[in-house]
Amino acid sequence: MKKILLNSVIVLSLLSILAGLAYAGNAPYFSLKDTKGRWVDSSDLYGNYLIFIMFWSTDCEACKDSMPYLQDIYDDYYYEGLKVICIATDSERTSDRVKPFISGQGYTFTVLLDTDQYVRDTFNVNQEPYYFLINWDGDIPFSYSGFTPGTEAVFKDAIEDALSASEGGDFFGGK
Amino acid sequence: MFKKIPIITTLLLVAAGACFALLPTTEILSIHGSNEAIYLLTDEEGDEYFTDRLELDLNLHPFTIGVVALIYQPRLNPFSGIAEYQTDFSQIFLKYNAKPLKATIGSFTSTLAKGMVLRTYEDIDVDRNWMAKGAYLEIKPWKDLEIKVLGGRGEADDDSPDNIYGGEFTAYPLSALGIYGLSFSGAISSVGYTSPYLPTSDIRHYAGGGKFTTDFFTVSGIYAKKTDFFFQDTPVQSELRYGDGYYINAVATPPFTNLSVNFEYKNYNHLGGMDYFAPPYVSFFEQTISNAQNEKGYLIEIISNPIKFLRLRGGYAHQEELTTFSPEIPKQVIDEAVASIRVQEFIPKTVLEVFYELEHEENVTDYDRGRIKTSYQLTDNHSIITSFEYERRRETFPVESTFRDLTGELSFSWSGLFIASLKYENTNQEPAGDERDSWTWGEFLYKLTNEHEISVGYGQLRGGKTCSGGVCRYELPFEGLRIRISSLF
Repeated sequence: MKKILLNSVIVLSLLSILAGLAYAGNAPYFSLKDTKGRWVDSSDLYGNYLIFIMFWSTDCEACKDSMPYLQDIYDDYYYEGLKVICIATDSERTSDRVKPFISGQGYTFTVLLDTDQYVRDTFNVNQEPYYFLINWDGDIPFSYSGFTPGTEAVFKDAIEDALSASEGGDFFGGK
Repeated sequence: MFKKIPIITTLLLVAAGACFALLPTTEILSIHGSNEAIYLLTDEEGDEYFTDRLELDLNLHPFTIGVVALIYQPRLNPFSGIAEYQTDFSQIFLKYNAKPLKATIGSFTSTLAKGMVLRTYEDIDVDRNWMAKGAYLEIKPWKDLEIKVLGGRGEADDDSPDNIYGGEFTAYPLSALGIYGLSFSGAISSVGYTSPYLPTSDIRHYAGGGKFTTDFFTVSGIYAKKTDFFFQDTPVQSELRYGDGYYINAVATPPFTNLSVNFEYKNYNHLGGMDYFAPPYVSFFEQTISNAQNEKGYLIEIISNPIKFLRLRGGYAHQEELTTFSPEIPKQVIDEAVASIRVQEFIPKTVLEVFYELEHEENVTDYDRGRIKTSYQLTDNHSIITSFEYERRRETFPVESTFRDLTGELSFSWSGLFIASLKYENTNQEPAGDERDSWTWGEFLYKLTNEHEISVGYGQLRGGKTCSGGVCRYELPFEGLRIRISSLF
């Protein structure tokens, strides 16, 4: 009996994953504080901006390697309505290291603190860095794990595709 | 029958997930999940291991029903080295998330007062499950007040369950003036621990603190106190034990500069105990003293980006025991330092990073580690990464000896869709038992889509935390073939 149940779970998992291949999900809701203690609510973002999210932590070297490229992307697409949001999943133990790192490196994109990993779990992120692009409909047309130099070209392609699909998002206005 | 409820629940959710995933997405209904399957085939014995972790959330806004299923057929335990057969559900929950309330019924993780009052968590990689099952509420009744309340049964040990209760509030007294940078908070927790092998214990923590943030600096502090009613046999013979601790953090970010200075101070006098209480480390090396039993220390870190292509980081930390068990035993005293320089795009398409860290434990050990990492973009789509790392440890107690480890890694990436990496590690440490002194590992990773990837690796893995192909994971010591399929859907 146990073996049948186990096999059923495995088969259904694979079925679910295969079904998910063609699936672009609706972005989950979240509400988190930034490094200055201000609340940022996804309902104020979805629909108003094209949003590029990275889940990261201060002990993830690949995550930090990608940040200069994310800053370039933020600078390049800011006037087309792109918001770059880096969600730090550091626990309370290490979350005090987030603000010094971001400020010291001069990054100007938004950084949010997910110290209980509540939002990371909501997005079902199982490794870092993990990237999501959320379009003006609140859908996730693109997600990606891992970073090596050159991956930023993949991000830019996805952003360009989303901008084209929106038939011209304008400054702060979305579609 | 009750044991089958989680299995049946998962089957229903997974089946529903498969069906819903075929439907067009809507704003009301969606499904998210991830799955990671790992197959290991060992070289010598030919043993096979299969591990699958499935996370599945069914979102009916504002509700989410979720499960995390773990299937080990069997799993190679990273610590005991024993094969474990297990089909388990580490998490089952119903969440509600809409302003102003966030609520969870079922499995939840939470941290109160930076872990100085409570921390429930799960970390499969290190084989820890200190989660709680019960109810967790987070509410913001007004703009200037946040409240957390939780209660449940801990999962630290099936034979000796823990009753956990706690709460925390944070108030913003100047919010009416539009100032959210000033806040005060208080927290309380109670963990009742009953064990068939140990005396019953009731551990209570109380904490109070404040935080003040502006654009240019942040100052925060927490003081926590512990009472531990340690019942020998009956409450009459109970012993009341105390502990306390405080943690201070200050961050300066001067205007018009890309510079930050971070300072942390801790003084933990028997504040910890069980893993439910885990305050900040104030250390660069997490493996140094950090159990909040008998320690104080500080950390200072400076990070700067003075010009676009140059990123600098340096830091120093010191920590020591508050007291020793006997005057003959010297205090444990540890000093640590780190420094790194990153030069990006000074030479076109090239990143160079030099990192160095040093640890000195008085009369016990000296440890230092250096790393040089380069990455070069051959074309817009192709990049090559090299990394060379040197570690040296000199132990003076109980026997004087010196070890050094060398690690070299070469990776080639094609648009991030295909990554090939080769890693070599060598140590001059005398191998214990049938351990080896060098490890070689080759791995190919291919992204089927952006959300689905497969990797095939062969060779020997030393184990521990490793970052490869742009992703950091905890690796098991292993020799043989490893296939991993990872999906997000």
